[in-house]
Amino acid sequence: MNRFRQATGLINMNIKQAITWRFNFLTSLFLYPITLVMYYFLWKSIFAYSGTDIIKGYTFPGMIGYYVIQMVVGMLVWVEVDSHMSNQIRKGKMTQKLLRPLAYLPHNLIGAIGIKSIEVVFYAIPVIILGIFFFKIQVGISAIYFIPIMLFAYILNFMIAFITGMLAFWMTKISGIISIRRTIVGFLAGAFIPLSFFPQSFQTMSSYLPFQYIQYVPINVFLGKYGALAVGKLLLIQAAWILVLYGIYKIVWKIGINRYTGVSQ
Amino acid sequence: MEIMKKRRKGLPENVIEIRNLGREFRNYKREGGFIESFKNIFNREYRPFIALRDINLDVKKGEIIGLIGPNGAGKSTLIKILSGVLYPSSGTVKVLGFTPWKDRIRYAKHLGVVFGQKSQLWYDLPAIDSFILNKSLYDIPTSSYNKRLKMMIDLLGIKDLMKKPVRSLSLGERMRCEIVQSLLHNPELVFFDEPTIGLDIIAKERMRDFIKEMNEKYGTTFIITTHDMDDIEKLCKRVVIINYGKIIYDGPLKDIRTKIANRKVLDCKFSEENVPPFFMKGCRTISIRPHQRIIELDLSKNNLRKVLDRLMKKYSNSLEDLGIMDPPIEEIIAQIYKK
Repeated sequence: MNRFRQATGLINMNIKQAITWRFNFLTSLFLYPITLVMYYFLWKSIFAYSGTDIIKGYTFPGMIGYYVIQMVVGMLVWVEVDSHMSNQIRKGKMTQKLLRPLAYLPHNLIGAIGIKSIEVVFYAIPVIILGIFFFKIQVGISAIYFIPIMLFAYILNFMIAFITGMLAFWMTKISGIISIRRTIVGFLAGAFIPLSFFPQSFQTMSSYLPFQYIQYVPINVFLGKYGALAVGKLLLIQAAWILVLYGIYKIVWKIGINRYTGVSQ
Repeated sequence: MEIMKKRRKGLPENVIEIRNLGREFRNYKREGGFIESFKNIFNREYRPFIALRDINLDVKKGEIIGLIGPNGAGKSTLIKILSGVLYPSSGTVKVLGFTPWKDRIRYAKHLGVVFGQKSQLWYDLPAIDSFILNKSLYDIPTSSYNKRLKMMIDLLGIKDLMKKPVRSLSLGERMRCEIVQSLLHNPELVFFDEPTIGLDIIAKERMRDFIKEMNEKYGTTFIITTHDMDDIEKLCKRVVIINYGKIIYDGPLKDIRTKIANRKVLDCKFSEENVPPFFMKGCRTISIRPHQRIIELDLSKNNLRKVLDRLMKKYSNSLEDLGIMDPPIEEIIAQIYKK
């Protein structure tokens, strides 16, 4: 069984699919700059009000830089596999995926990467270019480390979402849980405010959890806050978390799939 | 007519071997009412539901088998276990030497499944894209992919259809593309779940011809789940009837009619609204309507020719139309179950 050919076939298919949804794709293009403008004015007034140039180690341009990168990272790391799974399990559509000669999780992961690659080309790169020329973000050579860190961060977020998705084997509707997942993980990942703004105890707790490696760490890698050795260590931590989550997935999947009866529930 | 089958190395003679297969589901007991629904959030009572009990079945290579039974009889559960999607509660299953749910990924390459009601094609893209995807998923060598695709395009007439988005196809057109998609990788075993549902007469014929062609040329084994008796009569030499999770009949189709359902149904239409009743040995009037009588004849008690003669004589002035039919299969199944 040629795994590589299976993967390229799936990626191609998903790219074709993503392109047919042209309208959806173009409208989202406008969503990001609007959010950015909002944060621009918010932090501008915060800095003006506080009267200082530096808050928690960030200057005003640095803060905006954080948000531009955060937007890119947030979009790159976004996964919907839990809502897809919930939908498929509820409607009994998982059956046809299970008839294919590949395991369910890789099937979903590779498909998602296919769609993601379109988003990289059409959203991420233009936004980064915009950020460099318009918002004047500093990008150093350390941006190269960004690529493996971002890849692992994506897989990590995917695993968390997939495990959330498996709850659909037991519960009829998990949309509430999915929202909770997105909010809490997003919050702990540094999606709304940089983690350095939180009290030390919170930051310590956060370092024992996998979430900061999903957004906060990749953002700071891009902004050049880590050297080569530190990046290596971070990659190892990400990999370790991925393995832990993989173990959880394997155990839960076996029990969950047995409950799946393939009819609409 | 002896069917020439290509001998494939390493394949057991029995494509499917099922022994003592059982499957149970836990269903939640639910009374109606608001209070009950609320109680259910915290405390659920389970009632076991036995979907399959003690199933034993052997299927040889190249057979076309009809799997029939009322809704809820256990057909889908059986097919899902055979497909590797569901685990059994007890018993063993061997298909092409694999245990379906354990070896699912390797086994999937040898299996094709066509659902009449669920689509496996990608909805927004043309079918040809789904075919190309299957080529990579099933690792089909390019030369055999091209050859097989051409053959199926010609047989099913989908040359232009496959370039249109699947969502714009009619049901019959989509079904034809579904079949191609499921059989491109030349599986040894194919499950058809209600393949002709909703199709017009011509499309049904095409579908049946296709199945026969695949069976004769490639020795593909088919299991067809259907409620359509024409499908069964035109394709299947052997029929397996399931009801309440048990196999209640497993044998040649012709035996069902001759040995068990030894009856004919006579649908008589008259010019007068009310006609005198018809009495004859072995005959039972099963329906009375204005201008119509339906009479069931037990062939073990009387003979068709004599009954027809008497009918014609008795109603010589008023009989306008006479239909001679076999009893509906649902009735036969019900009968078989009662035995």
